[in-house]
Amino acid sequence: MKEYQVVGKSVERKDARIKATGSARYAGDLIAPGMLHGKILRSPVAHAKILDIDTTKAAALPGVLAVITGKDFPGIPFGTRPDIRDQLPMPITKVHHFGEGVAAVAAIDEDTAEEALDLIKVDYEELPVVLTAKDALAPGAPLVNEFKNSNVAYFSDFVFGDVEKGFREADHIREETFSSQRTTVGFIEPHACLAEVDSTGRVLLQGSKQSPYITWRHMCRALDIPLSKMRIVNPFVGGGFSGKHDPFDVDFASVRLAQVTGRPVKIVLNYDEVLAAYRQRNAMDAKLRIGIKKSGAITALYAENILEGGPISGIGPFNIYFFGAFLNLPYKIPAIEYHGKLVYSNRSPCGTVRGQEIVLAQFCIDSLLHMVSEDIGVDPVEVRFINAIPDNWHCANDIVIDVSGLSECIKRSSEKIGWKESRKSRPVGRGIGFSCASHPSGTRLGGHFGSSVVIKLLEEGQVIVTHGATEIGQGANTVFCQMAAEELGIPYEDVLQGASDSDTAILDSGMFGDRATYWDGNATIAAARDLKRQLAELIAPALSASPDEIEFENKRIFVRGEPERGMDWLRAVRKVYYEKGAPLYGRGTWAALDIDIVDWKTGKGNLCHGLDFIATAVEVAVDKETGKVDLIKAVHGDDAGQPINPATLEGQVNGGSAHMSGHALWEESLYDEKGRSINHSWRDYKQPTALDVPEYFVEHVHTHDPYGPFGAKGAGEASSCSTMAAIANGVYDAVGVRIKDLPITPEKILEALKAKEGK
Amino acid sequence: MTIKLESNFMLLGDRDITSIDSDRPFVTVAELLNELSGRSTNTMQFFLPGSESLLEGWELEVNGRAFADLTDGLATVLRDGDCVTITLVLLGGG
Repeated sequence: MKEYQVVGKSVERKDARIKATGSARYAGDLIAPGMLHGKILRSPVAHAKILDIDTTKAAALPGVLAVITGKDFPGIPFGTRPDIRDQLPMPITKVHHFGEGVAAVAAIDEDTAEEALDLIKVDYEELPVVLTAKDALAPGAPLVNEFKNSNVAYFSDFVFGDVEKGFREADHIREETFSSQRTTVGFIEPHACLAEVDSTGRVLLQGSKQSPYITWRHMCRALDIPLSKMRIVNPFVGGGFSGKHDPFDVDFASVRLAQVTGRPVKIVLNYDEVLAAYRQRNAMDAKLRIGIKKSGAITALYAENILEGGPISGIGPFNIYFFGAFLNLPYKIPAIEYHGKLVYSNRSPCGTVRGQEIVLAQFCIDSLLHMVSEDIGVDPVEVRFINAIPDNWHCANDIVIDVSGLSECIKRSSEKIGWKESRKSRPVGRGIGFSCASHPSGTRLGGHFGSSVVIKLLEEGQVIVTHGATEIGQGANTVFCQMAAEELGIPYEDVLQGASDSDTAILDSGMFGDRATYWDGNATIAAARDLKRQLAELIAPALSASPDEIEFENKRIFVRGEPERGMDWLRAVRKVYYEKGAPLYGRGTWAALDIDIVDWKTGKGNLCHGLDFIATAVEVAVDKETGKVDLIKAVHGDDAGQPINPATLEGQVNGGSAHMSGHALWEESLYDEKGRSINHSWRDYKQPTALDVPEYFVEHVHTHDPYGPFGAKGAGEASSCSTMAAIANGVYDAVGVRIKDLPITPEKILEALKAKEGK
Repeated sequence: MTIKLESNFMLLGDRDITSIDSDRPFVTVAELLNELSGRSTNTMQFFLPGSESLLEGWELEVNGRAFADLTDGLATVLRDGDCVTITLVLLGGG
């Protein structure tokens, strides 16, 4: 493997000190002259007609400058897919879920705004609620979304390969059902934004947004303003995990209130509001059937699922699509049949969470794989080896795998966790669970899907990297700076991070799907090469060379093979600035044009490059008296190509696993029979802390992706996909009970133990 | 007259069609899109009334020519055997 100067080193993050010292300014910290404070009135019911909203008393309260409702917006629906635009900025005719924002107030201070909320009178006519998929699909079920005359928001039916043949050839077939609960997303920073409108009517929105491009486009549509009339500047963002792509009522309300009052308006939610009323992960019911040979080779897979998604379709169609399309990974499965359905309900709107619905698919597949491996008497880890996708593999749905380190990942994680030794003996109540997964480095969704980076050369030799991606805590800014430094041959310390501003950066399509390192990383390299090309053209004559002979290394520009025939980087920079009058920008773009646009009808196509492969082994301890599960140790064999920053990469791998540990064992967003949230506070909704997670080890399997920047792949989500099945399999290995409906609570374990013991 | 249809999504919401017939000798792109909108189980709008542009989120080709290159835009005349390709663009991620 090539040795790099900066890439591959665990350099300090660009945002480490400013965040650790509390100096970073998030949306909630922003202040503008004349700023007002906004608050949102929320529906106390889950499903109701809005008969009337009387805001007169609230508007008359001293200190209140504006009160708005859904009727103060143009009434243009927006949505993730253009054929299913089923959301409004705020509801007009009906509320769809508990906590939905129905009105908003702008006042001189937060207390006044809160007081004004109490003065708004809303007349509701309650409607029957739809809480579960079963409710949604029942004959005569109340319709949830006024833009659709069915509670089925979306469905997909995919067939890859010859499924009948695959099951005929199986020596053993097993079918199981699985289910998963509603969970919250889990970012630390609640939704917040500051909106201002200038004298020309142009909006400036500074918000905690994960994908400002998505926010920008949807908001301009729903506000009925051209894109040029809105500027988005992202401050620091305290986590996203796919819960902050879309615009929410908080964003719309702050903009509308700013437009009405002519003053900046800031709205900062408290976390109870976030837990009650904002994006969650779908609940899932699934049935899978697998065919397998005595040798352990999988011959066929059948899967059907229903995702219960709240009152909007949102990203739900993509969740359905991803679940089905990525059944083809990480194992060699020659034939797959899939039927997926997304239904509306009157619970909080769903988006997705880290790992997308590959997380749920993998929980099902790897739990089932462990079961059938036991049925046929083949070691569960050996079964993974047998079915592991290799390099240059062509999946049944035409995804092409360029590089796969999965077999090595399985080898390294099973060795590190002590799998073989544990099969001979292990303490009572201790078990090890195994699972594999794969996650793409971005897909091609159509429309604007490329990435763009600009590198500005400063006259003292530093550069500023401005990209269209978003740093949400994953370390994107750092790795782009590392890549720029490596390509330019200058120290990492001389590479600075530019601002995220839609006026000066071309925002890319979004911070999702593990695309940033890969797509924006490649754009960074392209921008650095463009800058080098321009410098070379200007400097080469001084070195009596042609531009294509010029090299850049160790802060020096020189003729290839003759390092003494060159000049220092700083001297070269000053030459172009002062002698040539040429202050320079390097510009680079990148998009994977050779992969296929998502085919929603068939699920087929080469959807992506840069598949990150992972094999996760988790050691658990289960107390048979209490049912409590302790996570002892977790080993991730991870193929993320060339690690750009190993420490950051490990943070991503371990973080994704810790995140889904909560989904596996504790988390559940609970509702009463009327659809009201009952555990929307951190007192009652438990997420993992540092005390709850295991000792983590990451075994880097170092491959080289042919399309990735410096050979890297994306790496934020594969471990999310592999962790839940590993934990479920570990519990089974420890105490012999299989829990297929998440979360795996102590109560479920005790009940299963009793059933197993015939009590 | 038959117009062939290609797409990356189910054109009628709950089902797909690969061609559309008409008794007329020709239809315009706008008329075709309105027909599809009217028949879809989804709330599908391709353009605003009176507009000459497609709404964002849609890409369209006629016989391999991108919409932006069609001189007559939505008024482009379609005849028997023409192929219209409609691609849906997702604005969102996960």
